[in-house]
Amino acid sequence: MSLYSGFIYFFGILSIFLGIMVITRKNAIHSAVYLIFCILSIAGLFFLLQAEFIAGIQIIVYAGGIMVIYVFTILLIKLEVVKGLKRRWEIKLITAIVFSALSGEILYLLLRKREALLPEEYGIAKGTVQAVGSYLLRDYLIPFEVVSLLLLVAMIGAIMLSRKKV
Amino acid sequence: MGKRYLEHTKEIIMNMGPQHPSTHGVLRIKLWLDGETVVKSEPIIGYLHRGIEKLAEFRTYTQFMPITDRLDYVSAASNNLAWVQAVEKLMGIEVPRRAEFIRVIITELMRIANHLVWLGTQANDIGAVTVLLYCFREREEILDIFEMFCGARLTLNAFRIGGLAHDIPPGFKERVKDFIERFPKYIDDYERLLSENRIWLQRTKNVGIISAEDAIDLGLSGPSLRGSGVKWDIRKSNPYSVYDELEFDIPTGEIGDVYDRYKVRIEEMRQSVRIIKQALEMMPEGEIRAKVPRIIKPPPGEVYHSIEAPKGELGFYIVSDGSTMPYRVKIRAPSFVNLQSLSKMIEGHLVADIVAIIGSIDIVLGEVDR
Amino acid sequence: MSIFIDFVLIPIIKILVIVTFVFVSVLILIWIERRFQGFVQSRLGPNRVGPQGILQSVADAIKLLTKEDVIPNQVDRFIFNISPIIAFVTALVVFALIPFGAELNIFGRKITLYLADLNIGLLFIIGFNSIGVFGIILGGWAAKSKYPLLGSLRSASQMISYEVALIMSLVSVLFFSRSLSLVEIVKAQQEMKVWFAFIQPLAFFIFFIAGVAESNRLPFDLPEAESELVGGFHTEYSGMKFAFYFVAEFAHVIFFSALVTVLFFGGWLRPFPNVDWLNFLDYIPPVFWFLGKLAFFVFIFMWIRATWPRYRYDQLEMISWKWLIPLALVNIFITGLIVILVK
Repeated sequence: MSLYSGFIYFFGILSIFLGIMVITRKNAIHSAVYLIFCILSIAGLFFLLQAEFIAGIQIIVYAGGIMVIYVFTILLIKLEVVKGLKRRWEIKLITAIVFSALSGEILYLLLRKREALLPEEYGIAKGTVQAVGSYLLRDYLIPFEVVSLLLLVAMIGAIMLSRKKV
Repeated sequence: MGKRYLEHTKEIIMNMGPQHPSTHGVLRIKLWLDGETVVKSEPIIGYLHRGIEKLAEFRTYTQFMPITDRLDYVSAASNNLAWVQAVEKLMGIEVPRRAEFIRVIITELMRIANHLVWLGTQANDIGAVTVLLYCFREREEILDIFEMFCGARLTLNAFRIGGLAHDIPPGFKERVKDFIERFPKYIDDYERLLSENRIWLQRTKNVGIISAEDAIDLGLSGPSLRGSGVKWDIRKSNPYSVYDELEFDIPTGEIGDVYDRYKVRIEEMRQSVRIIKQALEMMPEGEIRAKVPRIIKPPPGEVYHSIEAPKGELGFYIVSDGSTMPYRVKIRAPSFVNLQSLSKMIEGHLVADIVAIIGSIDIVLGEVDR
Repeated sequence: MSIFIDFVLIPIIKILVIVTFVFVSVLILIWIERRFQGFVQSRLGPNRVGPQGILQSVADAIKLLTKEDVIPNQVDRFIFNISPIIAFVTALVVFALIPFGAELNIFGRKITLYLADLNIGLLFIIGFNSIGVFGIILGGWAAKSKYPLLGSLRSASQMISYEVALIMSLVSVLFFSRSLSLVEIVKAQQEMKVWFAFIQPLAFFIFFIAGVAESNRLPFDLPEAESELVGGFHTEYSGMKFAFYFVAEFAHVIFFSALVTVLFFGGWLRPFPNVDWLNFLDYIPPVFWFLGKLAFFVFIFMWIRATWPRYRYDQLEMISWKWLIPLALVNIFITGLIVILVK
């Protein structure tokens, strides 16, 4: 086992562990902290896959941006600690089916092809800033602009909704 | 804001003090906060209550002097002056002119020292740490002068009923002269650090405004009142000692915000320098103590005497039953009365402003709680 | 064997050197700051432990480490314990990307004077910087006490708003460097023969102000405004954990000075890279230039602290949103226009 795959396994197992911690914590703020670490560990995986831009964005946008808002909200609304949820058996069944289907699919893909899954070997350019930038601003310029327009609309809408009523 | 939103927000009740770095002692302010905005506030006092007024009833008139030092401990000489003058008024003693001039010099130095402490702490509260140390450096010189005069630096016990305990020591005049020659330059230094600083202006202008009417209604006195534009100074309006012979101006502010009160106090330091300069020149030779009976026994009766202490009107009301000890003493402490206006000033401001506003009223808890 | 040396041994040595550098310079910096403040304020400052008191910080560190670690009863222990670590680690990690110099030849082996040269260097730094906010928000919240809570709310909004200005000011620099890697940015300055501070003064100005705000120093030290919020977010912390926050703050100061040096003042380059007759300056090692510039900016941080009062919370937000961010946007626009026109 090379150093490289060692790191891949390390971050993979760490991500899974942290993910489990996120959903099993009873205190919402603890879940949020584990989620931050989970996001960071996934960013580590992206780094190893040479998708450095994605890794950076993962850290800035998810860990640094969205999670701050999450934590802020959790701090301010004072969530009660969840004391054992009661769910009906149908919901449990559906959850189990969806979960096993998804994980089965992933397992199948992994077992079928055991070679390294580096992007270069699939003929994809590296996930560097230059590569992503030229994709966004050359090949997919119009979808990119449309998406940014959509975000602008969403932002204006949010501002309008949260505005003080005059 | 619609009512729907209000239902979901909750005010925080926060206790500022009694242990807090910028309540200037053991003041406790109960704050109702909406976010960081003050909705309502209530100063809670009494943590430093020592029963000074009651203590007076079991001390002779002379013995009570050192206790007045403990009222407003950053301007002890002013308290002494108010006390001795009240007793002298009660007994009808005429104090020699030389003693009066020395008293004026000492109390005006005290005013400068007090304003230095105020300026330093106010600047420190707003975050300019350096000014604090500069102010204390100059105050140190004044304290040295006091030490030369009476041996004590903080609790002076400076005067005696009927005059002074000792004449000024040799070299005292030169030393005071030397200090007041240099001092205006130091004031310019403070002003260079603060008055032209954008941050300082933003933090003090239009903060803690109190109108002239409100200030009078709430009984404010001293620089805090003059900051609102009311020209009221007991040294001028009701002159005691030899103030009617001395020339000085009463600085006033315009709108009564923190900045105006700051400006008034800075200017007052300059005026004090002017007063000391004149007093040093006009001081005659002669006796320093009037003929006072060995045992001080004022005739039965009552008296109220007030002076312009650095913080405002400081008055002593004495009821005498003809014995060696006062029957009742009531102290009108400026900090206690000025503190009343705090709630009005901080309403609607942010937590950070409270600190600036408390500083600008210049309170000392020793005087508030007595 | 060669792989072992290149990928394991040398990086580990580099990590040790960098961590030691940060720790030692933090200790020295604390001492210098106190002595300097003492000088400005006409007093002495610490001068008892060691020559001129230089060991004072060491003594303080030992005291903090051996002190009882008080954990108040009401706190959320997990968060309370983990937040100083977050603040501390994020403040240290970013040093990995700082280029202290170009290359050194030791025993015939080329050794780069930085731990990593990522092609997303700046993004990585900004990302970890924004994670550092959690250390403060969570730390203040976990203490379950009112002053820390106010402190952490303040710092959260302060850091978010200044981060925007910080990133915006960087964009106009990237027009010239054409890379996010810190090493490439310095090399671009070498090629253009000018420090970016001279072609992007506005960006430098905005970046420096935002940097001061990000590291919670006067006049923007609201999260820990002593006279208002007692100790701010770290009111309930003591001993070791307090030391973590303290070191993290000073590490931030050093880090921002290093970043300003790299981005705007040519990193390890000598002064006036465009003047040829100053070539003899090249004989002085590049690390010296880097550290010299770094020390200069650290000094400016201290100087500001010794002189200015503190902003109020709303005024601080106003500066960022109404001045710095619009200015940065205008700067991006103008720079972009010029770059296109010159082409």
